[in-house]
Amino acid sequence: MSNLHTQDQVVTSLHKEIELAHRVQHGLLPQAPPNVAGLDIGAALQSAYRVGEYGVGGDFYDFLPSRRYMLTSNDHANSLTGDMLEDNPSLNSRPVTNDAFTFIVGDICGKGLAASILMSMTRIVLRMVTLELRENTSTGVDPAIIIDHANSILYDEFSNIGVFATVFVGSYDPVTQLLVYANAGHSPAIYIQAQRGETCGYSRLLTADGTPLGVLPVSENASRRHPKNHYLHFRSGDVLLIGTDGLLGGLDQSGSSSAGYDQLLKRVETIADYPAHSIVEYMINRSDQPNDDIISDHHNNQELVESSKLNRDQMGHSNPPKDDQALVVIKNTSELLQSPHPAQKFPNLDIRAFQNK
Amino acid sequence: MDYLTSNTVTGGVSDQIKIVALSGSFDRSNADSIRQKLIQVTAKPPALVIVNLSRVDFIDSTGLATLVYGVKQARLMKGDLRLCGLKSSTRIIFELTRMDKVFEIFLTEQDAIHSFGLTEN
Repeated sequence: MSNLHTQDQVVTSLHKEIELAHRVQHGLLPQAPPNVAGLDIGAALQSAYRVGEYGVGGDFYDFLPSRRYMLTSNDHANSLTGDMLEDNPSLNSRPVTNDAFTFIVGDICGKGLAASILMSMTRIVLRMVTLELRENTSTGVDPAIIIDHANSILYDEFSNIGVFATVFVGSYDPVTQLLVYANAGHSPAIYIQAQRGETCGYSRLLTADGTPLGVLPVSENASRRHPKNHYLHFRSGDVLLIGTDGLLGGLDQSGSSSAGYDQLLKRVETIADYPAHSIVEYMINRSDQPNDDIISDHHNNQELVESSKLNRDQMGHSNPPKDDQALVVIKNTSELLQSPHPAQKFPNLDIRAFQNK
Repeated sequence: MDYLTSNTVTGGVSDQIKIVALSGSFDRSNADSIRQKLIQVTAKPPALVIVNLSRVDFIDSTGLATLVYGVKQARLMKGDLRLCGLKSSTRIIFELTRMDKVFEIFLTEQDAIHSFGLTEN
């Protein structure tokens, strides 16, 4: 009897610890996406490891906007105000400005409490490095440098315990509409270029070219270790989805991740016109539905969201997913800004100009 | 997940290369026991280890982390941990995460053995 009593106490205590860890983890994440001029941002996180309604895990996202491009309640959501367009010397000298809006999506290997502790540590290191670079007039918030500095801080600690973290870091300047990103072993992000005139819209995967944090030491040949910066002209109507591998897991019915991603691309192309929060809702709730007729059946945003929620309930999505899931969706909703193509300002950059499929 | 550890049987190099052959899924459920095995086979220098993944159908991030731990241990012990026999479903995970930059990966176990360049007596 006393053993049972003790077991009950242990379980109760564990529930309380998980609840506390959940509150801490979710308290540390951004409570709402920031109001950045010309962007519509949505984000969500679901943990696989849960006790009751409380879950913790190793996926995370973070947003680090600069004051320059934050909207106030008086600003029109889709336009850049006069202050934002005031002369910014760094815009003319290098592609990544100090004022660029930086966003991060990461995934610690493993699940549960241990992953959540490491997630908090990794997020803080990335945040600290980004904020330091924001003050650095020679680099700006350069994604590849953020990843490299974070790796140098975390490598020894991660090696001691045998873990790694994949991260996708992007910095976007609303004035130049140049989006710079670096991908360290993270699941491919999805870039959807909007239809423009007679040019059809299309989507592409932005795959990793660097190893995750904690895998190769600073002393390793930089070309092997480093993710490089890549450049996108991110214009009105374009969409970027950055998820973690748990989001794709349920899609892959064939045992092939490439087949899973093909399926994913087809799916997101059909929902790119919806608001960011609706795309997030849809993707999180429908991620294990390979054959999906929801989009053809529902033509407006409210129907899409409601149907996604209904699907979650029908499919038992109140149960935890098999793997942690995080998703950030960023849409460029700016009104037509007559900025020149960034290639005119930075002719030496290899700004991605994808061809239609 | 089953695993089988053996020394190579190629004459003079038989005691120098350890082969760990895995099968099934390599994930959180069995990563600890495989990690212990890798600690064991990388304990003495030079730690020359081949992990044969030809019968592995699925590997998750915890499985990858276990292999990363193993390769770091092997390199600390003046050796290396090399992989062979990856199925396409497993190989793509290495490519997407760029772990293919971390490990030397070979088609067959024999290729991996020869890559260590040991001469037989």
